[in-house]
Amino acid sequence: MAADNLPSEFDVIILGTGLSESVIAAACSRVGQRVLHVDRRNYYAGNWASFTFNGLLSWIEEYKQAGQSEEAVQEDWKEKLEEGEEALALSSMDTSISNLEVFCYASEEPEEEVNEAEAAAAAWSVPQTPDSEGEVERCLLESSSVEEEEPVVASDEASPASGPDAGAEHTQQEGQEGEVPSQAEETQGEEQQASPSPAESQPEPKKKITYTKIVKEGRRFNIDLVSKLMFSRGSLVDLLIKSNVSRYAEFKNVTRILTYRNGKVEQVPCSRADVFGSKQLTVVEKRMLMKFLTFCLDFEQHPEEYQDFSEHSFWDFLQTKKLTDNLQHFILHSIAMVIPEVCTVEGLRATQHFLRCLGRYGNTPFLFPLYGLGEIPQCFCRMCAVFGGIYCLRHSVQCLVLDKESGKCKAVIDTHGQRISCSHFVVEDGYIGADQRKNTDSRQISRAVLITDRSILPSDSEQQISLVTVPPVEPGGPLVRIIELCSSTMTCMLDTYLVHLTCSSASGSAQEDLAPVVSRLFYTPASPGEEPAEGEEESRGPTVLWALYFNMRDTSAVDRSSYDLPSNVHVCASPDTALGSDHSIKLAEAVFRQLLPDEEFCPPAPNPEDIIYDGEGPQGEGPGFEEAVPAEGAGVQGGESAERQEGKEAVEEAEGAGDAVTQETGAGDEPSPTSEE
Amino acid sequence: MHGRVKLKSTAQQEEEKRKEREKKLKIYVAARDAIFTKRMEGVLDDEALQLTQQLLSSNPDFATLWNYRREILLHLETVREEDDVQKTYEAELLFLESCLKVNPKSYGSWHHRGWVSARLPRPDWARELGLCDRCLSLDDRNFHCWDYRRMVVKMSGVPVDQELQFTDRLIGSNFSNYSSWHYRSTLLPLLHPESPDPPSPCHQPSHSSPPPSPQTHSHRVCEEQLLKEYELVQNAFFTDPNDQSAWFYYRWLLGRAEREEMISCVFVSREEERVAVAFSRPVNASSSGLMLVLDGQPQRVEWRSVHPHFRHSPVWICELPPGTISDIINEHNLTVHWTEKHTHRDCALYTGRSESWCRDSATDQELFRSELSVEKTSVLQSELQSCNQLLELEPQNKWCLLTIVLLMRALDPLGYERETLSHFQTLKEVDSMRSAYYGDLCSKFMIENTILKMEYAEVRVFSLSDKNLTMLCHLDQLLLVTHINLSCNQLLRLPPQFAMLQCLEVLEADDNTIENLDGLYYLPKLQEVSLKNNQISKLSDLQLLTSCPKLTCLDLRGNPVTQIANIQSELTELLPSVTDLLI
Amino acid sequence: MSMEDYDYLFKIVLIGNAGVGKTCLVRRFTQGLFPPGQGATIGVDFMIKTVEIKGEKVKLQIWDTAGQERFRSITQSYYRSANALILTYDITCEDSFRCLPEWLREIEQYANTTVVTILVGNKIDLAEKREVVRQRAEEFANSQSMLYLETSAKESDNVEKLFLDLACELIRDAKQNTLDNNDTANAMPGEGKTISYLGCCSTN
Repeated sequence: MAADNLPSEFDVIILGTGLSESVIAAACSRVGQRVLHVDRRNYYAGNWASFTFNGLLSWIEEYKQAGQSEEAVQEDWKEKLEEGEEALALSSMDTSISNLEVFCYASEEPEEEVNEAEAAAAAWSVPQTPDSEGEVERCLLESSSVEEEEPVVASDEASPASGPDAGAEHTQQEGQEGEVPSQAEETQGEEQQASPSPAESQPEPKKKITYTKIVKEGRRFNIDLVSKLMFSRGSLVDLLIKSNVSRYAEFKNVTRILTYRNGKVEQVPCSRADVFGSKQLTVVEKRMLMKFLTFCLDFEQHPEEYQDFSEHSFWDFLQTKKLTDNLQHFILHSIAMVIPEVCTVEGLRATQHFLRCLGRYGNTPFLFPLYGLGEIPQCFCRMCAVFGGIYCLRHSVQCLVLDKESGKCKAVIDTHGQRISCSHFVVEDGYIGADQRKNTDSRQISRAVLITDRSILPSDSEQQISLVTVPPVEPGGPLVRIIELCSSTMTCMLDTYLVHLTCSSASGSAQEDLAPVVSRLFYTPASPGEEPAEGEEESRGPTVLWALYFNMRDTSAVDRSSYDLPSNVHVCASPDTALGSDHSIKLAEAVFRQLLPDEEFCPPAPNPEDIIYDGEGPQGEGPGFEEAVPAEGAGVQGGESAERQEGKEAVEEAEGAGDAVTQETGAGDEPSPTSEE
Repeated sequence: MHGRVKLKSTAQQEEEKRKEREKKLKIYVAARDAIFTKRMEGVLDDEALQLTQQLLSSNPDFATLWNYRREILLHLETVREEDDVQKTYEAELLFLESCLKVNPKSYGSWHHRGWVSARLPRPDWARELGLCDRCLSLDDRNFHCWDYRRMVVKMSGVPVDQELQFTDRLIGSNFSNYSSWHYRSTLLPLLHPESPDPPSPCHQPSHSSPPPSPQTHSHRVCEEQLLKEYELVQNAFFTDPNDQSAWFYYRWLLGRAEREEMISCVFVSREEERVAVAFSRPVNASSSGLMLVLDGQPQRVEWRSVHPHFRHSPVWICELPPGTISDIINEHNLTVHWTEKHTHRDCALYTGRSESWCRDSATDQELFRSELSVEKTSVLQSELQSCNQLLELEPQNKWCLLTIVLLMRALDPLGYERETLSHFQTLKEVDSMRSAYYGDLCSKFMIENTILKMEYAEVRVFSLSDKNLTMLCHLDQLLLVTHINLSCNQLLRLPPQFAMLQCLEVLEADDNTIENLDGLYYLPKLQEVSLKNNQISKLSDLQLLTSCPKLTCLDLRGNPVTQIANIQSELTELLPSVTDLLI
Repeated sequence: MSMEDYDYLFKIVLIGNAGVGKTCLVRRFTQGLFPPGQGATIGVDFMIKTVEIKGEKVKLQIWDTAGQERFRSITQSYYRSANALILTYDITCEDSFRCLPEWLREIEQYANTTVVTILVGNKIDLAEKREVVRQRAEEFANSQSMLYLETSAKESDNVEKLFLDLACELIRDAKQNTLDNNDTANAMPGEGKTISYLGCCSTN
C-alpha cells in the first residue's frame, strides 16, 4: 500500500470526516468538484466514529496520553509561502474529549479452558498485538519453505467446530442475517453441552461474561462515540434516500421506547398497538392519550385548542388537558422529548414530528444503522470517493495559506509539507486553534458507555433496541437519554447489551452527571465479577460489566461569527446532544449552498444500469448488460434478504389494493360473528 | 464534462424498456403457444411443467395453466415413486412461494397451493403455518391466506389454544383487523364453552332437544373467559372508539344464541274452524312436519302461511274440516306436533268458548335474547358503566351510543326507555346517513316495549300511536291482538306480516303515510279499518280488503283515492259488505 | 411483473492494492472490455451482471474500492454486507503480495464472518515479470482458508471462472442457510409505509 503523492490542486479540501464534513464532501464531489478529504486520525468519522472494543481501548489510551505530550509545532512551512501570503496554523491537538474514566466490573479471570488455539484467535482479532502480525507475516513469507509448521491462526479459522466457543461463533454468524430469538437459546444449549460439567452449570445457565471474553470478542462491538437515532422522517433519512447513499448501509427499527418513572423502567405506549396492549394504562387513560395524540397529529387545524397557551409553556398546556400524571410524563419526556419550559407550539410540533415518524418503518419513529452510527459518515465518504473524491486518513493540514490582500485561503500545507491549493476549505471545529476562537465558551456533552449482561427491561425477545428517557433523578439534575442496543444491531457481542447514556453536562464531568443514573438503573458490582445477592438480581437492574465516561465538547451552538477565519473557510460543528442528526445535516447543506449556490444538493447517484460506459453503444450492447434489469429498491443485503425485500415491496403494493377490496366486499367477506352459523 | 458520469437519457431508457417488454412479450407468446399445443396433444411431461412455470411465475392468475399443471402432476403421481412424488410436490411448493411473492393475493397460486398441500405424501404443516404467518404479518387482511390457513389448521390439527394465541398476536399488532377478531370468535366457544346447563327460562324441552352437534354449537363462552374478553375489547374501543372491528366483536360477546325453535302459541277459533300456530322462529311447515291431532285423531289439514309471500313464516294456519268443532257445547282437545324438533303444544277448547289459545307469555328476556345475553345483570351493568364512561369522553361516538342502547335494553328496556329514545335522537344527528336505520331500530324497540307492557297488562289491545314508528316488526307476537292503534306514525305500508294478526277486529292507522295495504289479507275477524290521512291513491290498493269477510267499517278520509270520480259507487261495488264507509 | 427476475443476488467486493487490476477484472467480466476507459469508474458504485448457473439466475453486484485504497483509507462500511470478497494482488509485484496480511486484518475486523474470500493473482499475461510464484500464493491462500485463482484481465484468462466459481460457492452457502428466512428484515430507507397509527384507518 505504497502512498503516492497527492495532486497539488483541488476545488475543495475538507479536514475531518465527521457527519457534516462527509455530507459536504459527498455533495461537492457529486456535482463534479475535485475534493480532497483528509483526517488526521487513522479512522473515519472523527467524534462520530464507532470502535471495536479493542479499538475503543486504543482510542482511550490515545486521549489519555494526548493530555501529557504537547507536539512540537513544525515551522517548516515558511519556505512554502510566496509574496503576499501568510500562514494560519491549525491546532494539532484535539481537546474535544475530556474527563475520560474507565471502570471494569467484569471479572478479569481467564476463562476455564482457554486453549492455545483460542488464545491465538484472540490475539488475531486484536490487530494491535504485534505477535499476531508477526505470525501472519512470517507465515506469508516463509510458508513456501516451512512446510511442517502449521500456522496456528489459520487452523482455528478453518475448522468451525474447534473449542467450546466455536459453537457460539457459528451461531452468531448465522445471526448476522437477522436474529431469531431462539438462536440465543440454542447457543446457550450448545455451550451447556460443551461444558465439561453440565451439572455444575445447571443452576446458572447463562454464562458469566468475563473481561477476557469481551476482549476476545472485541470485534463484535461497534461502540459509537456519539449516540443518536434516526427519525424515520428526519433530515438524515430523507437525505440518505434522496442521494441513494442508503444503499451503503442497513438499518433496524428501534423496537420500543421506555422511560424511568417512580423508580421503575416502563414502556411508553406511543403507537396505536402499544396503547391497546398497554397493561399500565386504564381504558380511560388510553382514550385520553389517544385523543391528545390524535389532536397533536394535526394540531394546526385546531388553533382554538391551544391558542390561549401560545405564551405559556407546554407543561402548562398539558395541565389543562385532563391528562393523568403518567400520561403527562409520557408525552413530555418520551414523545415530545422536550423540557417542561418550552413553549406550547414547540411542544406540539415535537409531538407531531414524533407521531409522523411513527409507523413508517416500524412501531417506533426511529431507525438505527447496523454496525453503529459511525457507519453513516463513512457512507457519505464512499459516495464522495465514487465520484472521484480523494481520501487520506492519518493525514492532516498544518496550516492554511492566506492571501494577505483578499484575506482568503488560497492553499493549505499538509502534514507532509506539501502545498495544495484550493478554493474552499472545510474543517471540523476540533482543528481550530484557540487563537481563531473569539468565543471560547462551549457546552459539554456528558457520555457514558456501558456493557451490560441483560436488558434494562427484559421481555420476550432479547433483541430489543430501546430508547429510554430519564427525567432528572435528583432535583436540578440533567435529563438523561439512554439508548440500549442488542447484539443484532451488530454493535455488541451475543448475550451483552451496549448502553449509551447522553446528557447535556450540568456539572462539567460526565461521571458526576451520569453515575447517579447508572447506579439507579444498573447494578455495579463492588468488586469485579461480584454477583448481586441471591434474589436481588431482578430488582437491581442489569449488571454493568464495563463502563466508560467522557465529555465531548458541543460546539453546535457556536456560529460563524465566533471564529476569526477567512470567508472561504467553513467550520463544521461537533455533534450536539439532540437525539436526531438534523443539526449536522442542515449545517452541511448550508455550507454546500455557500460553496456552490447554483448546484443541487446531493441529487440521487445514478443506478449502475443507467450509466453509459466507454466503448459502449448508447443501447448498452455490452455482454454484461444483456441481462441487466432496472435496479430493485435501495441497497443489497445478500441474496436471500434482497429477495425478501422485493417480496415485501410487492406485498406492500398489494396492500393498498387489498384495502380497496376489503372496503368493497368487507361486509360480505367478513360476516359479523353473530350472523355466522 | 470531466468527472461526471454519462447517463442514459430518458429516451434511451424508455427505448431499452420498450425493447425489453417486446422481448418479454415474444417469449411469453411463444411459451403460451407451445403450452397450448402440448396440452392439445395430451403431453404430460417435465418440459410442460417447465414451460407453465415460466409463464405462471410472471402471471400467476392464468388459470388454464394451473389446470394443465395439475393434470401433469396427477399423471406424474401414477408413474413415479412416492419419494419422487414428494420431491416433485415440494418443488411445486417452492415455486408457488415465488409466485406468491409476485402476487400475494393470487387466487390461482393459493388454490394450487391448497391442492398441492393436500396431495403431498408427507406434508410439512408447520412450514405451511409459518408461511401463512409470514404472509399475514405483511398483510393481515389477505383473505386468500386466511382461507389457506384455515385449511392448514384443519389438516394438521393445530390445537385451539395455540390458534387463540395466534389471534392474540394478530390483534396485538393491529386490532382493527376484523379477520382476527372473527377468527377469535370461532375459537373461544371451542376452548371455553359455556357451562353445559344454561338457565332455561321457559319450560322443559330438554328431553326433546337433539344432542349438540358442532353445527348447532351454542357459540357461547364461559363467563370467566367472557370477562377477559370484555376487558380486551374495551381496550380496543377505548383506544380507538371509531374502529368498528372491536365494536362488532363486543356485540358478539354480548349477544347470545338464537331462540330455540319451538311452538310458542296455538290458537283455535270455533267460529272460523281455524287453527293458528306461532313459532319462535320462522319455519317452513307447508310440506309435512306440522301435525294436528284433534281429540286423539290426527287430522288431514292443509297448513299455509298467513301470506302467499312467505315460504318461511313464524305463523301457520289451517282450516279444520267443516263441522269438526263448531258445536259450541262440546269440549275439544288439540295437540300440534312439530315433528322436526320433536316438540308439541296442547290447547283445549272448552265448552261454550268461541276461541282458545295456549302459549308462553313473551318475557323481555325471550324477546331480546337474540340481541343481548342474559349474563349476570351485574356484568352487564358494569359494561354499561364502562360505555357511559367512554360516552362522556366521546359524546358523539355512534358505536358507543348504539352499544349503550343495546345494553340498556338487555338490562331494563322499559326503565331505560326515555334514555334510549334520547340516544337514538343523538345517533340520528351524529350519523345522519343512517338515520333511517336508527328509525327502524328505534321502532323495533318501541314495539318490543309495547309488547312487554301489553303482556304485563294481559290485554289484547295494542296501542302504538305517536311513537315515530317507521316500520312494523314482531307482528308474530301479536297473533292474539284484537285492537291495534298505529295512528300518528311514519308508516309507509302495512307489510304482508300484518296478516299474522289473525284475531284483529279493529285497526286504527290514521295519520301515517301508508300507501300499501298488503298485510290486510284474509284477516277473518277484521271489522273496522280506519286509515284517515294516508297516501292510498288507487282503487286497486284496496282490492285485498275483499279477502276480509267481516269488514263493515272503512274510513278513508284524507286519502288521494277519495278524489277519484265515482269513488263511492266503485267502493260499494268492490266492498259490498262495508256498510259504514267514510270518504 | 418482470420475467427476468433473478433467483439470487450477491454482493461481491474487490480489495487489494491500487494498480493490481481490480477494476480491469470487473470491467472484463461485466463488459468484456480491456483496458477500461479513463474516468469510467467515476460515479460507478458497482457493476451488475446476471449469470445463469444450473438454471438459476444469479445477479452479481460487484463493488469496487472507489480509489479509497490508494491511501489506505477504505471505509469499514465497504466490507459490511459483502457476500464475497475478491482479494487481489499483482503477480508481478511482490509488494502487492506482501500487503495481503494487512488486507486480511481489515477483512477480519470489518467483514461478515460468513464472507467467502478468494485470493486472486492477476496479470498472468505478464508471466516474464512474475515476482510471486504460484505455489507460495497457493500455500498462503490455503493457510488462510481462501480459494485461490490466477487471472489475466487482459487476456480474459480465468475471469469468467473466477466469478462463476464464486457464484456457485455463494449459492451453495445460501442453500444451506435457507432455514426459514425470518422476518426481521432490516428496514431500508425507502418510501416506507404510511400507516397512520393514530388516524382511524378502518372506519367505513
